[in-house]
Amino acid sequence: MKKLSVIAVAFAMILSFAFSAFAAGTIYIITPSASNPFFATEQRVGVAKAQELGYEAKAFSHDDDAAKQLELFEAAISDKAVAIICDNAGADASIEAVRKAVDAKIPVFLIDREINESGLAIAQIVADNAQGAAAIAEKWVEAMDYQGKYAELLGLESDTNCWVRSQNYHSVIDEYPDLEMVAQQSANWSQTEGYSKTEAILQAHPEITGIICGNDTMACGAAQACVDAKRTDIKIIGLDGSDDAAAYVAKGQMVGTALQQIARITEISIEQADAYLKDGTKPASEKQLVPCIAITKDNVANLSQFVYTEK
Amino acid sequence: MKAKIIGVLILVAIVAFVSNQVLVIEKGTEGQYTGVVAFDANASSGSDWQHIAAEISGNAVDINTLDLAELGAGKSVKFKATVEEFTSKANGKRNSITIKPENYSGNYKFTVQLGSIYSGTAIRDVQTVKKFGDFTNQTEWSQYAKALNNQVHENVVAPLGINSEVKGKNVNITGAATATGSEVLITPVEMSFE
Repeated sequence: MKKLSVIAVAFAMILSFAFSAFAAGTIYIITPSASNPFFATEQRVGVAKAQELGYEAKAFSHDDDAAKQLELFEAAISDKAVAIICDNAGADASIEAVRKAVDAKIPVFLIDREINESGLAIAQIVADNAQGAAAIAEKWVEAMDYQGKYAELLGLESDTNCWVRSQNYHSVIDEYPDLEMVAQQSANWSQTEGYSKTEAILQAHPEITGIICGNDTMACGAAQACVDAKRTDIKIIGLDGSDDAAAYVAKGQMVGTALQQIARITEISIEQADAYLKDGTKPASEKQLVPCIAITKDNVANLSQFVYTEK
Repeated sequence: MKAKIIGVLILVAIVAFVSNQVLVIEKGTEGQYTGVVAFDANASSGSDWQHIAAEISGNAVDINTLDLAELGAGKSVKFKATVEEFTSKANGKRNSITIKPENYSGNYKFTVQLGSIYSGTAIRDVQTVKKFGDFTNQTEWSQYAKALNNQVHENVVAPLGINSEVKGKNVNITGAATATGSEVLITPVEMSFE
């Protein structure tokens, strides 16, 4: 009996070896620094989905350094990767790396950020920041009861998304003449700057009742500054859908955020890579937008680690 | 030899002629020369509106035949309903009616938005006349959604002059429906009160 189970175990081991030897190849997942939970989610979900579909998966960070990104692409090429999933290190700076992979016949699937070139990558799948900003701005104007003075914390002004988000906040807010912006400053996507800028704005403009922020890290800084200043009447929004922001939303210290469905976006990229590798199927269009979900206290319980699950 | 000299002379003449011609492009007319025209969401939505309204009407299904949990980012729907309440907020910029669809017995709450400011991108998202790839970037795509919502107001809602007197009336609605939680939001493309 014992012998039989030893044979069974050995047989299972042989099978699993055979299985890994026949793995459909290695998918490289290259993202900005995984110290940011958003990018850590890309790596975690990407590796899990690739393995589920029978691939080996390796995840790396380029730390927003285009030279390091190029080295990682070259490593993928010499490692004979079957596909590369990448959240890139710059819309122009990344074109060279993507072209190298394409020349080496390795299909590239870009997530989260676009590059300024079409026809190289098989797919560029990004969150619809414009729609997300407008969607959460709508919740915010409701919370403000369509009136009052407010401040805006902008992201890094050299970043396209900073203006996409700001413009689309204002496309909603500016339709209401009784909402008046009295301060607009950049806090460079940073939580500490979000905190210090908010402190200063509260001193200079104590009459404000709202703060709109270009991302969740700044919004969390702003929310904490308002809590510390006992100004929890101030209505704050951000954009990303981070767990930190969700905690403030749940406590009523932020009105909401817009979830960029990065886990879903990463899964879609792996599914599209799998379809392409199996029979050459390309997505209907290279540039694809995945809608954001407005998160308020009504549905914040459905959000965890950038995954939204309707309960 | 002679032909060569004539050729050179002609070339010199052409170069002299061309270099004397300086084309002045008036500011704002660059597009006529480069083909790159400043995007105008309103113009674009205006010429598309009839096609989009027709497409949504053509695809619309009875709301009672749908699993409302599957509405997601939007489906084309049509139904008859009774107006339960008319609500006006933000100095009349956010008007809406809550309605009860005929033969519906579930727990969803139905709201029809009546502007003049509209939420969301449902009209844009259910139509297929234009797609994201037809636009330069996310912001233009977003402006297009907003411009289509303005078409809704101009062509469908504003002419009806809806106010609190519609309470209790029957209404026939065709439009784009989205759902969040147990609330269905309808943006109309055709509407008539009985």
